Amino acid sequence: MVSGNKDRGYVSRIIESARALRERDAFEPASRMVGDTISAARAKAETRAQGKDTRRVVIAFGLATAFIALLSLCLPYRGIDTMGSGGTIYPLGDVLDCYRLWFDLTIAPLFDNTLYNLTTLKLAQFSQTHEGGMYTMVTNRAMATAIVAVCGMMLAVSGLLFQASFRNPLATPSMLGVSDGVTLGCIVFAWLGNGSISEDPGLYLLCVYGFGAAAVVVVLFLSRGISGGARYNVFDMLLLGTVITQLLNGVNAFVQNFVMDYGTWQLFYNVQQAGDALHDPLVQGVVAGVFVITVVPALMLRFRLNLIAFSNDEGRMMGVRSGLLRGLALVLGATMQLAAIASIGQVAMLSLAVPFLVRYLMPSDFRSQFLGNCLIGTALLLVCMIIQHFALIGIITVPVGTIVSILIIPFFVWVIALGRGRWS
Amino acid sequence: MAAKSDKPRRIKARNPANTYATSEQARHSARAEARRVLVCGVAALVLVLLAWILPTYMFEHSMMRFTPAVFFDVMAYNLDGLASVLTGGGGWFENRFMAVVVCAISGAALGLTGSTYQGAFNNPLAAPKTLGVMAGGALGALIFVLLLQGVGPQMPGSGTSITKGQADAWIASLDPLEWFWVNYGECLCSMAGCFLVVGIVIALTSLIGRGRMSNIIVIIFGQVFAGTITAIISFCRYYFTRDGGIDMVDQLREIENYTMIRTYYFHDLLVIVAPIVVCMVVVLLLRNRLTLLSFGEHEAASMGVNVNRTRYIMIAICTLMTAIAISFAGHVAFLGFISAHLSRRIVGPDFKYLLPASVFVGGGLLTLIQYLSQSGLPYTSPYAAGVICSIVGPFLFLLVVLKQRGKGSLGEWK
Amino acid sequence: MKLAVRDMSCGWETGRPVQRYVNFTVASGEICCVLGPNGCGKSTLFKTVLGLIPRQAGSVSFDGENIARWSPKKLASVMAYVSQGHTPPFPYKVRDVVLLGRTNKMGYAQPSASDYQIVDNALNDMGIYDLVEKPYTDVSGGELQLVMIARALAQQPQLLVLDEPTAALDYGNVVRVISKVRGLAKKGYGVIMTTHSPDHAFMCNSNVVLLQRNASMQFGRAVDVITERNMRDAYGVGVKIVEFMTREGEIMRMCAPVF
Repeated sequence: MVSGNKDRGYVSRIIESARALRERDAFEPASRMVGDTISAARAKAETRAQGKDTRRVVIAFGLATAFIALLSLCLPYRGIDTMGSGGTIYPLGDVLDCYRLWFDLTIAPLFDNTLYNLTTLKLAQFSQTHEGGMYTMVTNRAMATAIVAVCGMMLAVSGLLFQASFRNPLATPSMLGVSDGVTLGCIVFAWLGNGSISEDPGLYLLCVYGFGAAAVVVVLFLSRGISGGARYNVFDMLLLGTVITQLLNGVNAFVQNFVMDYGTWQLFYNVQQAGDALHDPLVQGVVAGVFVITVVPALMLRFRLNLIAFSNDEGRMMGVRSGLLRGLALVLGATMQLAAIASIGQVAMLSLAVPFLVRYLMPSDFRSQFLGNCLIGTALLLVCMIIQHFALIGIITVPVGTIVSILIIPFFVWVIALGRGRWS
Repeated sequence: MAAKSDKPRRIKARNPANTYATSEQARHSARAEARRVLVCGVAALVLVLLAWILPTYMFEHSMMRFTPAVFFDVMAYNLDGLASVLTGGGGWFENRFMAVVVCAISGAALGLTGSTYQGAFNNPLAAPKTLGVMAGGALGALIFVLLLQGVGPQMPGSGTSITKGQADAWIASLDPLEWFWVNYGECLCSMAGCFLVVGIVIALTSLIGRGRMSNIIVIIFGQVFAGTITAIISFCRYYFTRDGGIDMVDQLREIENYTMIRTYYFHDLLVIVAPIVVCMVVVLLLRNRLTLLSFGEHEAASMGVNVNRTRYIMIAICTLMTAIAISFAGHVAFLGFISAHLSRRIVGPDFKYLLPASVFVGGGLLTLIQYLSQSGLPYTSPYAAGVICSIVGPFLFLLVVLKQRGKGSLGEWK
Repeated sequence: MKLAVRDMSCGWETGRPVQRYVNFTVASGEICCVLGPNGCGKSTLFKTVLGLIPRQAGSVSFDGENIARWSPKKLASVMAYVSQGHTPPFPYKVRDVVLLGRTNKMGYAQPSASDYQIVDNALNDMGIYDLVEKPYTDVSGGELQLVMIARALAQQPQLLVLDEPTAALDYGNVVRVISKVRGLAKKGYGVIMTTHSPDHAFMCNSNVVLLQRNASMQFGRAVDVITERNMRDAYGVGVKIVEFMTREGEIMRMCAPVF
């Protein structure tokens, strides 16, 4: 029946159908068989056309994301003079020199060891010809852009994983208490530490990751207790998540308003918006590590993860332990959003919004959704970073979380108006 | 063909499936549920009375032991206060009594709203704050604090303390409109904010649904707007109070946890209590439609319910109730969620009994929480009811829920 | 290939079996219809045979081997299941839905060209190749059923387990599905299916397992088990078995109710 490449298999199918026509089954209407062969040809042509559409969407968004990333790297770099206000803008040529130097110092030595010893010499030469601090500023922003891209990816994919597991378009990890746990961690850090992330990044990470993870674990543990066994009921998890989130909200509000003095609250707010965290090397390293641990397995399992949307029985009969897979998806999603919020601030809305758009643009298959979410999540978060660059009120920059929240409203209105006919 | 013998089924104490072999049993069960509603009502009333009678005496006399003799003392003390009010003086009795009444009524309004939203959206996760009403209230209060405080008549000698006599004289000198603004200005702004946000959410949803309101979209927009407004308020709080704008700190702090920072007088009966009671009566009259809605949109429509119009009316009235309750009594909207689930556990899913029960449960619960927040625990102030509610509520919920351990999924939604 | 169920008791709660001492076999090329009134335990029986509910007594063996200890992977390589009343969670394309059936054979790899070929073949066998790029939320009930069967076929099993494949289908679709099932049996698959109409058993020329609520089960050829007396005992209705001759000279039977 199957021979050689696709086209020959197709021809043999036609021949076989014609043969079947001759040995007619008593209940088989003849017209159906003829309909098979004719429409198979049509379907083949349609398939090629529609596959092209998806590919076009992916290419368009890929290019857009790359352009946005380049844009965020090349935004005007503003030096800071001693008065604290904006200084001169560095010309683009100098910025490119910085990148060239960075390449010489970090990437080139991997291929040619002899260049390694020239590091300090090159840096000294560079500082003589260019303004002081420019190299650090440029490389910092390059790293920050990379981390933001990674976090955008993780946020969007976490939303996708949760919405597929819960079969509910409103599910996000923050519904299980991740963002409120992180806020509680920020409160604890503002109390224990000096409130400055760059001085004590280890403690910051410990508090934030610890409390965020603890919130999710508590919700899962309680929902397991209620279901009375090893089965996790989706509805119970959502309900308990809502309740625990509210509890954490209450505790946070209580501490913020009745226990903290004003100075500590200011510190806490800065910590919560995680402005410093993005530039701290330890935080960056941890985010990169979490990215490797979570996104790579999701990428490798991208076909199997389709099955988390189906019932456990169906999955089992297709040879997959759906319960385990779904649990894995939830753990990965929660960790992804936790890492993103710890590095960038309260940006949990993106997990809700981006999968909506991708569900409209691309087919429901997890592989396509994964790709679409990565691209659009990165693009959107980078756009927010670019906006933040210009959103200066006095000398205070509006935090990314606030920008994301404000941007989400028109974004959501647009996305939902797009998919108008599909929502029941 | 042998027919199976019809043995009448034994009635268990609660039959969650609501199926009965004979109408006799159905009527019996309905009476049982009505009885349960009454029990809730009586319990709520008792709680309110206790909350009214006890704290005054305890705080005034620092009395922690409660013996029968003390009970009579307390009653006598209260009757004294009542007498002094009736004879024309003001005093603590008025404030105390009105505080308890406003508290109970607000709790009742919020409980009712919670159950109504759960019915109107057919979703057990719906709560009064779903449509962004709380965020709207906070937004209105923020605008008032930032922009409108200088508007209208100002109390003379602000910055220095003035005597009560001077303050009273100044208030008496205001004409009615000015008096209204001075007393209720911030609350009115808060209410306006509530209506603004809910109005935007509903308008957007209807625009997109071309007249039809979709459950999921409404909840999404509510969440999104609430999140955005909360982020903006936090930022404003940070921005406007850094380097020296410290005098606004307390006010901005209270915006998010705006609770019971007023003293209440008898005229508040007209301003706060009456509108809420009217709204509650209207909602209670329409409760049978909610039961029909819970069968699903299409089935309800085929039974003669205009689904869209019912939803809009319910939302409008509930928003009015919630806006008044929140603006005057504080951000305790989570109470609505808790009391909705509690009443459902007590009385069952039929809205004919569920809505009255949630009124009573909500009122009693908020009174209890207000009492707890005033009871002198460390770090609490009398103004912490919203926060205490968010902390105590979940534990209460878990207690009720964990009692159902092993019976599978919560409730009978899915 | 032979599936043998011996003396099996099944039920949801331990100690309260819904069916007891169920005995039947299904071999390659055979169809076995499970008949019985509502609530007598047909779906329970299925889920127990598939291992989704723990067995209370008895054994299920596949080619002589007891499948009690088989992993889901091994079980899925010989049996495929089409559940009753599948609700689509997302608007997957028909091709992607059928491709999911290849999960077991693919392991952790990504789908290859041969996997897509098998999917196309399965769709063509079911005669629904023209639906390949359609979201499967947009197809009719009968076509959805055929998509699910195609997914089961893509799993390349030896035994197909279909739970009420013709429920909620119109007459034309019922006949279409039954004819596909007949074709599959001819190709060498073994098929077990539940059905609520004894006519389907006659149409498929199958063996029949007749379950009743409080009586013992019966297993045998359709012509032997579906008798007027058995139908009255099981369903409580009077029927007449009608025989007629088809064009090809086959004897066909049908079950007609008597009012």
